[in-house]
Amino acid sequence: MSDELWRDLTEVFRTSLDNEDLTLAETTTADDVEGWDSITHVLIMVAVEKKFRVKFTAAEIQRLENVGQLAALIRSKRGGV
Amino acid sequence: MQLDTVYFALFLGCVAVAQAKLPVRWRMPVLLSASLIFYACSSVSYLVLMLGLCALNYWAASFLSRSSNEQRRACFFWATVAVNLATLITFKYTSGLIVQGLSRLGWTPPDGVVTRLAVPLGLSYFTFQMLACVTDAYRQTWRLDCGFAGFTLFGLFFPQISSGPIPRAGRLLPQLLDGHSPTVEDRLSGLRLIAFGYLKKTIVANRLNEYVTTIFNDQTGTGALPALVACCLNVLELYADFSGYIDIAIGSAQFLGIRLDPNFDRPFVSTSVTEFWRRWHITLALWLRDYLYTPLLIRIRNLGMTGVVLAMIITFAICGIWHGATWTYLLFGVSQGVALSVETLTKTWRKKRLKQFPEWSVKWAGRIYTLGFFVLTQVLFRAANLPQAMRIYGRLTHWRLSLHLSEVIPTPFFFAVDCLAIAMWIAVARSLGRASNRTTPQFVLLCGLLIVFLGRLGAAHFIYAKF
Repeated sequence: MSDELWRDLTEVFRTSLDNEDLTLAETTTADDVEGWDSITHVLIMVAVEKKFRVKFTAAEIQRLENVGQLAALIRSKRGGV
Repeated sequence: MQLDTVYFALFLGCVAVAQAKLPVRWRMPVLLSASLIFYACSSVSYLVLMLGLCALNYWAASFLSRSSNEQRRACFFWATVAVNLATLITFKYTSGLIVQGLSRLGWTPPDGVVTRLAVPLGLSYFTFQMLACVTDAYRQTWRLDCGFAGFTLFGLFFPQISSGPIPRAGRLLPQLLDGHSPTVEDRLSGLRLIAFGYLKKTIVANRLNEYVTTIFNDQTGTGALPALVACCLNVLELYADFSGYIDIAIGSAQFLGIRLDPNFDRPFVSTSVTEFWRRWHITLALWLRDYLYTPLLIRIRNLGMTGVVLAMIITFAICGIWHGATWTYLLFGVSQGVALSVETLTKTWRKKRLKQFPEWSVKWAGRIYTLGFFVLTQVLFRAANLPQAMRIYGRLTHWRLSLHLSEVIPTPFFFAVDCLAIAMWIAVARSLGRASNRTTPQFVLLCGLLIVFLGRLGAAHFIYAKF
């Protein structure tokens, strides 16, 4: 996974969750991060879609289990960039 | 067969004996037979309907678990959802509308006709279960890998079919298919929970029902204090009634070695309405979140916070209408959605502003606000119609000093017994936490004695049975 994608993704999460100290790992889930509930999850997805200029389907968003899967999904949408 | 009857206790005992005496491989067939008999006691023709729905959903879930053709999967999924919803809507609303329409034309249908139009037992909860299964299979977050018999047992499992808790296939199905026998701990803790559930229903819910009904139906009363007492006791009655049913359901399942998801987690300590809905009717709230609110929010996610508010209000409006096609239920649902939306929109602001106050004061203010909000909105839930709810709200604004004690407490002796019953409930709830396998006989005996001396037996069926 590219460092640039990971850095941008962390930035989106920090802005959406209003937490500048947040660090993400591939295995990070909503349960590991304070304030990441069902509402912020959808708002994060909107921010991710805008930042990476991708569009997720409803099923794709609901299947995501951790940040690593989200990063992989972004990469697949952008053609493996 | 209602869960608060002696027949159910005997039935559960027979199932447990059969489970203990027959070989382990018979465990699942025993539970399935018991569930079919339990349902047949309610209605044989509706049992056929439910088996048909089980077959449809089993077929759809197994197709969705196997197929990779996205177009066909989408067609199957939406068609199955439509059939499930059409069945629910037909039985839940059409029959009521027909009876209402005939009544307006001046013809009251005989009891036999009304009974024939009644909603099949547990259809609402069964529909929630089935929709969750096919949705999870469609989303590929769960895969159906059991036979039709196991799936039917999951759909009709008798301790929870009437009014929940709403189970998830991923957690309940493996337990039902597993051949292990209940442990001594399962039997005894199940027994304690059943005894406590009966206690809540008979000594608290049934007792308070009389007082609350009297005040709510009183067309001539004007004082605010009696109305306020009735509103507070109404919430207590609903909690005792519904959590009592849930305790019996969870306890019965545990008695048979099956763990159901909890449905309540001390809701009255909540410091916000948002938190309240994480502690009250948990399985319904989670179902609404996973299968209605989140998919809806995802669809309208580009609206930002407007989308969040819309999704919340629509979800709770549907939740309200699910309870019944009346203005009171709709307003109840919308009021919850509005409260949650306001709390979400002001979350950051409140966090910053409330920092200056001591933590304990913020917590208690939150509890009083939450409880006050629920007490007031539950009037809509309880009232038979909108004019009755408005009459109660009108009374709550009518404070006066010259109040006779008899207006608040029409029968002092019975009111004192009601207060004693509530005190006993709290005391027994505390001892439930401390009870062990060794002290189970004493605990059950204590509950039994309190039910005999303070309980109002066979007074009213569970409130949630009608949903």
